[in-house]
Amino acid sequence: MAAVSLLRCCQGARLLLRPQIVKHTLPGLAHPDVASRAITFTAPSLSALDYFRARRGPFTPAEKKGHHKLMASTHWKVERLVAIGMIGIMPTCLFYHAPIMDHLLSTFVLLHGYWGMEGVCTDYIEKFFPYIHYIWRAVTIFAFAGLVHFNYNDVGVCKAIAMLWEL
Amino acid sequence: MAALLRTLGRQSLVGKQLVMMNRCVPMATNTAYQEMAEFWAKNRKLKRPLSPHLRIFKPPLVMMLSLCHRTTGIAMALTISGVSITLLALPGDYATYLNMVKELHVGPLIIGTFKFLISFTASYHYLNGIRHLAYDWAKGFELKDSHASGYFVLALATLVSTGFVFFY
Repeated sequence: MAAVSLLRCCQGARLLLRPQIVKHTLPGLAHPDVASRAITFTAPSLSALDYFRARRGPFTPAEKKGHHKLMASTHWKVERLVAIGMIGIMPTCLFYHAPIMDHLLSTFVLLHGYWGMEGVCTDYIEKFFPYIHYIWRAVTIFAFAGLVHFNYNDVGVCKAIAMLWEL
Repeated sequence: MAALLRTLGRQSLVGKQLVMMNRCVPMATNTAYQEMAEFWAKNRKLKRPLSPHLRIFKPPLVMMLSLCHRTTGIAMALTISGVSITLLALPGDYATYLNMVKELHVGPLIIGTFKFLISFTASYHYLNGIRHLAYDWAKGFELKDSHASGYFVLALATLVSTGFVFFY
Protein backbone atom coordinates (compact mmCIF):
# COMPACT_ATOMS: atom_id res chain seq x y z
CA MET A 1 0.00 0.00 0.00
CA ALA A 2 2.85 2.30 0.88
CA ALA A 3 4.78 0.98 -2.10
CA VAL A 4 1.87 1.76 -4.41
CA SER A 5 1.57 5.33 -3.22
CA LEU A 6 5.35 5.67 -3.51
CA LEU A 7 5.24 4.52 -7.10
CA ARG A 8 2.31 6.80 -7.89
CA CYS A 9 4.22 9.71 -6.47
CA CYS A 10 7.13 9.03 -8.79
CA GLN A 11 4.80 9.15 -11.75
CA GLY A 12 5.32 12.87 -11.76
CA ALA A 13 8.75 12.26 -13.25
CA ARG A 14 7.13 10.65 -16.28
CA LEU A 15 5.54 13.96 -17.23
CA LEU A 16 8.97 14.93 -18.49
CA LEU A 17 8.28 12.60 -21.40
CA ARG A 18 5.57 14.80 -22.80
CA PRO A 19 3.51 13.53 -25.72
CA GLN A 20 4.20 15.64 -28.80
CA ILE A 21 0.81 16.21 -30.39
CA VAL A 22 1.21 17.25 -34.00
CA LYS A 23 -2.07 18.83 -35.02
CA HIS A 24 -2.18 18.84 -38.78
CA THR A 25 -5.34 18.63 -40.88
CA LEU A 26 -4.87 17.07 -44.30
CA PRO A 27 -7.66 18.44 -46.49
CA GLY A 28 -10.09 16.35 -48.46
CA LEU A 29 -9.51 13.15 -46.56
CA ALA A 30 -12.35 11.17 -45.08
CA HIS A 31 -10.33 10.50 -41.94
CA PRO A 32 -8.30 13.65 -41.40
CA ASP A 33 -7.79 13.02 -37.73
CA VAL A 34 -6.06 9.71 -38.33
CA ALA A 35 -2.98 11.36 -39.76
CA SER A 36 -3.22 14.23 -37.31
CA ARG A 37 -3.00 11.78 -34.47
CA ALA A 38 0.68 11.10 -35.07
CA ILE A 39 1.77 11.39 -31.48
CA THR A 40 4.61 9.67 -29.77
CA PHE A 41 6.10 9.55 -26.31
CA THR A 42 9.63 10.75 -26.89
CA ALA A 43 11.94 13.31 -25.43
CA PRO A 44 10.90 16.84 -26.41
CA SER A 45 13.19 16.90 -29.47
CA LEU A 46 10.91 15.35 -32.11
CA SER A 47 12.62 13.33 -34.84
CA ALA A 48 11.18 13.56 -38.34
CA LEU A 49 10.49 9.83 -38.49
CA ASP A 50 8.27 9.90 -35.45
CA TYR A 51 5.89 12.26 -37.24
CA PHE A 52 4.89 9.50 -39.60
CA ARG A 53 4.40 6.82 -36.97
CA ALA A 54 0.76 6.07 -36.36
CA ARG A 55 -0.69 6.44 -32.91
CA ARG A 56 -1.83 3.35 -31.08
CA GLY A 57 -3.92 3.41 -28.01
CA PRO A 58 -7.21 4.65 -26.66
CA PHE A 59 -8.67 7.55 -28.63
CA THR A 60 -10.93 10.11 -27.04
CA PRO A 61 -14.30 10.74 -28.73
CA ALA A 62 -13.07 14.15 -29.86
CA GLU A 63 -10.21 12.51 -31.74
CA LYS A 64 -12.48 9.94 -33.33
CA LYS A 65 -14.99 12.48 -34.59
CA GLY A 66 -14.43 13.01 -38.28
CA HIS A 67 -15.34 15.95 -40.51
CA HIS A 68 -18.01 14.17 -42.52
CA LYS A 69 -20.72 15.69 -44.66
CA LEU A 70 -23.08 12.72 -44.36
CA MET A 71 -24.23 11.25 -41.10
CA ALA A 72 -22.75 7.82 -40.55
CA SER A 73 -26.20 6.23 -40.44
CA THR A 74 -27.12 7.74 -43.82
CA HIS A 75 -23.86 6.54 -45.29
CA TRP A 76 -24.60 3.06 -43.96
CA LYS A 77 -28.01 3.11 -45.66
CA VAL A 78 -26.43 4.14 -48.97
CA GLU A 79 -23.97 1.25 -48.65
CA ARG A 80 -26.81 -1.23 -48.12
CA LEU A 81 -28.78 0.25 -51.05
CA VAL A 82 -25.79 -0.25 -53.33
CA ALA A 83 -25.45 -3.83 -52.09
CA ILE A 84 -29.12 -4.52 -52.74
CA GLY A 85 -28.77 -2.99 -56.19
CA MET A 86 -25.91 -5.34 -56.93
CA ILE A 87 -28.10 -8.33 -56.12
CA GLY A 88 -30.11 -7.50 -59.24
CA ILE A 89 -27.27 -6.27 -61.43
CA MET A 90 -24.87 -9.21 -61.13
CA PRO A 91 -27.02 -11.95 -62.70
CA THR A 92 -28.44 -9.54 -65.28
CA CYS A 93 -25.05 -8.52 -66.64
CA LEU A 94 -24.23 -12.15 -67.41
CA PHE A 95 -27.00 -12.40 -69.98
CA TYR A 96 -27.95 -8.89 -71.05
CA HIS A 97 -25.06 -7.05 -72.68
CA ALA A 98 -25.73 -3.37 -73.17
CA PRO A 99 -23.85 -0.10 -72.47
CA ILE A 100 -26.17 0.71 -69.57
CA MET A 101 -25.30 -2.61 -67.93
CA ASP A 102 -21.60 -1.87 -68.41
CA HIS A 103 -21.93 1.51 -66.70
CA LEU A 104 -24.12 0.19 -63.89
CA LEU A 105 -21.84 -2.75 -63.24
CA SER A 106 -18.62 -0.75 -63.12
CA THR A 107 -20.12 1.98 -60.92
CA PHE A 108 -21.76 -0.31 -58.40
CA VAL A 109 -18.90 -2.80 -58.19
CA LEU A 110 -16.28 -0.11 -57.67
CA LEU A 111 -18.38 1.80 -55.11
CA HIS A 112 -19.05 -1.36 -53.14
CA GLY A 113 -15.41 -2.41 -53.37
CA TYR A 114 -14.26 1.05 -52.28
CA TRP A 115 -16.38 1.03 -49.14
CA GLY A 116 -15.42 -2.55 -48.35
CA MET A 117 -11.70 -1.87 -48.57
CA GLU A 118 -12.19 1.35 -46.56
CA GLY A 119 -13.45 -0.87 -43.75
CA VAL A 120 -10.47 -3.18 -44.13
CA CYS A 121 -8.06 -0.22 -44.11
CA THR A 122 -9.70 1.24 -41.01
CA ASP A 123 -9.70 -2.08 -39.19
CA TYR A 124 -6.25 -3.40 -39.95
CA ILE A 125 -3.96 -1.04 -41.80
CA GLU A 126 -4.38 2.53 -40.62
CA LYS A 127 -2.94 1.78 -37.21
CA PHE A 128 0.36 1.05 -38.92
CA PHE A 129 0.13 3.38 -41.90
CA PRO A 130 -2.53 6.08 -41.62
CA TYR A 131 -2.09 7.34 -45.21
CA ILE A 132 -3.53 4.12 -46.68
CA HIS A 133 -6.90 5.86 -47.09
CA TYR A 134 -5.39 8.33 -49.56
CA ILE A 135 -3.76 5.50 -51.50
CA TRP A 136 -6.91 3.41 -51.74
CA ARG A 137 -9.00 6.37 -52.86
CA ALA A 138 -6.46 7.15 -55.61
CA VAL A 139 -6.43 3.51 -56.71
CA THR A 140 -10.23 3.43 -56.90
CA ILE A 141 -10.36 6.64 -58.93
CA PHE A 142 -7.84 5.27 -61.40
CA ALA A 143 -9.68 1.96 -61.54
CA PHE A 144 -12.95 3.75 -62.31
CA ALA A 145 -11.19 5.75 -65.00
CA GLY A 146 -9.88 2.50 -66.42
CA LEU A 147 -13.30 0.88 -66.50
CA VAL A 148 -14.94 3.92 -68.10
CA HIS A 149 -12.21 3.97 -70.73
CA PHE A 150 -12.76 0.24 -71.23
CA ASN A 151 -16.51 0.70 -71.62
CA TYR A 152 -16.13 3.48 -74.19
CA ASN A 153 -13.09 2.38 -76.19
CA ASP A 154 -13.18 -1.37 -75.89
CA VAL A 155 -15.72 -4.17 -75.67
CA GLY A 156 -17.26 -3.24 -72.31
CA VAL A 157 -17.14 -5.20 -69.05
CA CYS A 158 -20.19 -7.45 -69.60
CA LYS A 159 -18.94 -8.60 -72.98
CA ALA A 160 -15.43 -8.91 -71.55
CA ILE A 161 -16.58 -11.41 -68.92
CA ALA A 162 -18.33 -13.47 -71.61
CA MET A 163 -15.20 -13.39 -73.78
CA LEU A 164 -13.06 -14.45 -70.82
CA TRP A 165 -15.34 -17.39 -70.21
CA GLU A 166 -15.06 -18.55 -73.81
CA LEU A 167 -11.35 -19.22 -73.20
CA MET B 1 3.25 -8.22 15.38
CA ALA B 2 3.14 -8.07 11.65
CA ALA B 3 0.67 -5.21 11.87
CA LEU B 4 3.06 -3.35 14.15
CA LEU B 5 5.92 -3.77 11.68
CA ARG B 6 3.68 -2.66 8.84
CA THR B 7 2.62 0.48 10.73
CA LEU B 8 6.21 1.36 11.57
CA GLY B 9 7.30 0.74 8.01
CA ARG B 10 4.44 2.83 6.66
CA GLN B 11 5.41 5.75 8.86
CA SER B 12 9.03 5.73 7.72
CA LEU B 13 7.97 5.49 4.07
CA VAL B 14 5.42 8.25 4.54
CA GLY B 15 8.23 10.49 5.70
CA LYS B 16 10.13 9.78 2.48
CA GLN B 17 6.92 10.25 0.51
CA LEU B 18 6.43 13.74 1.86
CA VAL B 19 9.94 14.67 0.81
CA MET B 20 9.50 13.32 -2.71
CA MET B 21 6.01 14.76 -3.08
CA ASN B 22 7.44 18.25 -3.09
CA ARG B 23 9.29 17.39 -6.27
CA CYS B 24 6.50 15.42 -8.00
CA VAL B 25 3.48 16.75 -9.89
CA PRO B 26 0.31 15.22 -8.41
CA MET B 27 -1.40 12.43 -10.35
CA ALA B 28 -4.84 14.04 -10.35
CA THR B 29 -4.13 15.85 -13.63
CA ASN B 30 -3.89 12.57 -15.55
CA THR B 31 -7.04 11.86 -17.53
CA ALA B 32 -8.34 8.36 -17.97
CA TYR B 33 -7.20 8.33 -21.61
CA GLN B 34 -3.68 9.34 -20.65
CA GLU B 35 -3.56 6.56 -18.08
CA MET B 36 -4.78 4.02 -20.62
CA ALA B 37 -2.23 5.21 -23.16
CA GLU B 38 0.55 5.00 -20.55
CA PHE B 39 -0.59 1.49 -19.63
CA TRP B 40 -0.26 0.33 -23.22
CA ALA B 41 3.02 2.17 -23.79
CA LYS B 42 4.51 0.57 -20.68
CA ASN B 43 3.37 -2.90 -21.66
CA ARG B 44 4.66 -2.48 -25.17
CA LYS B 45 8.01 -1.25 -23.87
CA LEU B 46 8.32 -4.22 -21.53
CA LYS B 47 7.33 -6.44 -24.48
CA ARG B 48 4.85 -8.36 -22.40
CA PRO B 49 3.11 -11.20 -24.28
CA LEU B 50 -0.61 -11.18 -24.95
CA SER B 51 -2.74 -13.99 -23.53
CA PRO B 52 -3.37 -16.71 -26.13
CA HIS B 53 -6.58 -15.99 -28.00
CA LEU B 54 -6.76 -17.14 -31.60
CA ARG B 55 -4.66 -20.26 -31.12
CA ILE B 56 -6.62 -21.80 -28.27
CA PHE B 57 -10.19 -21.58 -29.58
CA LYS B 58 -11.69 -23.94 -32.10
CA PRO B 59 -12.63 -21.57 -34.93
CA PRO B 60 -16.41 -21.17 -35.07
CA LEU B 61 -18.14 -21.64 -38.41
CA VAL B 62 -19.63 -18.15 -38.47
CA MET B 63 -16.22 -16.61 -37.85
CA MET B 64 -14.66 -18.59 -40.70
CA LEU B 65 -17.49 -17.68 -43.06
CA SER B 66 -17.16 -14.01 -42.19
CA LEU B 67 -13.40 -14.24 -42.75
CA CYS B 68 -14.00 -15.87 -46.14
CA HIS B 69 -16.42 -13.08 -46.99
CA ARG B 70 -13.85 -10.45 -46.21
CA THR B 71 -11.05 -12.31 -47.98
CA THR B 72 -13.06 -12.85 -51.16
CA GLY B 73 -14.10 -9.21 -51.07
CA ILE B 74 -10.50 -8.01 -50.73
CA ALA B 75 -9.37 -10.37 -53.49
CA MET B 76 -12.01 -9.12 -55.89
CA ALA B 77 -11.51 -5.46 -55.08
CA LEU B 78 -7.76 -5.70 -55.61
CA THR B 79 -8.09 -7.82 -58.75
CA ILE B 80 -10.67 -5.61 -60.41
CA SER B 81 -8.78 -2.41 -59.60
CA GLY B 82 -5.49 -3.97 -60.66
CA VAL B 83 -6.83 -5.32 -63.95
CA SER B 84 -8.58 -2.08 -64.76
CA ILE B 85 -5.49 0.05 -64.11
CA THR B 86 -3.34 -2.40 -66.07
CA LEU B 87 -5.69 -2.24 -69.04
CA LEU B 88 -5.59 1.55 -68.83
CA ALA B 89 -1.80 1.57 -68.78
CA LEU B 90 -0.89 -1.07 -71.35
CA PRO B 91 -1.27 -0.63 -75.12
CA GLY B 92 -3.51 -2.76 -77.29
CA ASP B 93 -7.04 -3.81 -76.61
CA TYR B 94 -8.63 -6.54 -74.53
CA ALA B 95 -9.02 -9.03 -77.40
CA THR B 96 -5.26 -8.89 -78.03
CA TYR B 97 -4.47 -9.94 -74.50
CA LEU B 98 -7.08 -12.68 -74.55
CA ASN B 99 -5.49 -13.99 -77.74
CA MET B 100 -2.10 -13.99 -76.04
CA VAL B 101 -3.53 -16.21 -73.33
CA LYS B 102 -5.22 -18.37 -75.95
CA GLU B 103 -1.86 -18.88 -77.69
CA LEU B 104 -0.56 -20.51 -74.54
CA HIS B 105 -2.96 -23.42 -75.17
CA VAL B 106 -3.47 -24.02 -71.48
CA GLY B 107 -5.11 -27.35 -70.70
CA PRO B 108 -8.80 -27.55 -69.75
CA LEU B 109 -8.00 -28.61 -66.19
CA ILE B 110 -6.11 -25.41 -65.43
CA ILE B 111 -8.67 -23.30 -67.25
CA GLY B 112 -11.43 -25.05 -65.32
CA THR B 113 -9.62 -24.50 -62.02
CA PHE B 114 -9.22 -20.79 -62.67
CA LYS B 115 -12.85 -20.50 -63.73
CA PHE B 116 -13.91 -22.32 -60.57
CA LEU B 117 -11.80 -20.07 -58.36
CA ILE B 118 -13.10 -16.88 -59.97
CA SER B 119 -16.73 -17.97 -59.90
CA PHE B 120 -16.50 -19.38 -56.36
CA THR B 121 -15.06 -16.10 -55.10
CA ALA B 122 -17.80 -14.10 -56.74
CA SER B 123 -20.73 -16.39 -55.96
CA TYR B 124 -19.67 -17.03 -52.36
CA HIS B 125 -19.34 -13.29 -51.73
CA TYR B 126 -22.67 -12.67 -53.47
CA LEU B 127 -24.60 -15.31 -51.50
CA ASN B 128 -22.95 -14.56 -48.17
CA GLY B 129 -23.60 -10.88 -48.93
CA ILE B 130 -27.32 -11.63 -49.07
CA ARG B 131 -26.94 -13.46 -45.73
CA HIS B 132 -25.19 -10.39 -44.28
CA LEU B 133 -27.93 -8.12 -45.58
CA ALA B 134 -30.40 -10.33 -43.73
CA TYR B 135 -28.27 -9.81 -40.61
CA ASP B 136 -28.49 -6.05 -41.15
CA TRP B 137 -32.26 -6.37 -40.96
CA ALA B 138 -31.76 -8.38 -37.75
CA LYS B 139 -32.91 -11.68 -39.26
CA GLY B 140 -31.19 -15.00 -38.83
CA PHE B 141 -28.89 -14.20 -35.92
CA GLU B 142 -29.75 -17.21 -33.76
CA LEU B 143 -26.83 -19.57 -33.71
CA LYS B 144 -28.54 -22.55 -35.30
CA ASP B 145 -30.05 -20.27 -37.96
CA SER B 146 -26.71 -18.73 -38.83
CA HIS B 147 -25.12 -22.19 -38.94
CA ALA B 148 -27.85 -23.49 -41.22
CA SER B 149 -27.73 -20.47 -43.52
CA GLY B 150 -23.92 -20.62 -43.53
CA TYR B 151 -23.82 -24.24 -44.68
CA PHE B 152 -26.50 -23.46 -47.23
CA VAL B 153 -24.47 -20.56 -48.65
CA LEU B 154 -21.35 -22.71 -48.89
CA ALA B 155 -23.19 -25.52 -50.66
CA LEU B 156 -25.02 -23.19 -53.03
CA ALA B 157 -21.81 -21.30 -53.85
CA THR B 158 -20.03 -24.54 -54.72
CA LEU B 159 -22.99 -25.63 -56.84
CA VAL B 160 -23.21 -22.34 -58.67
CA SER B 161 -19.45 -22.25 -59.34
CA THR B 162 -19.55 -25.77 -60.75
CA GLY B 163 -22.42 -24.67 -62.92
CA PHE B 164 -20.42 -21.72 -64.16
CA VAL B 165 -17.41 -23.89 -65.00
CA PHE B 166 -19.42 -26.31 -67.12
CA PHE B 167 -22.50 -24.53 -68.33
CA TYR B 168 -21.82 -20.84 -68.91
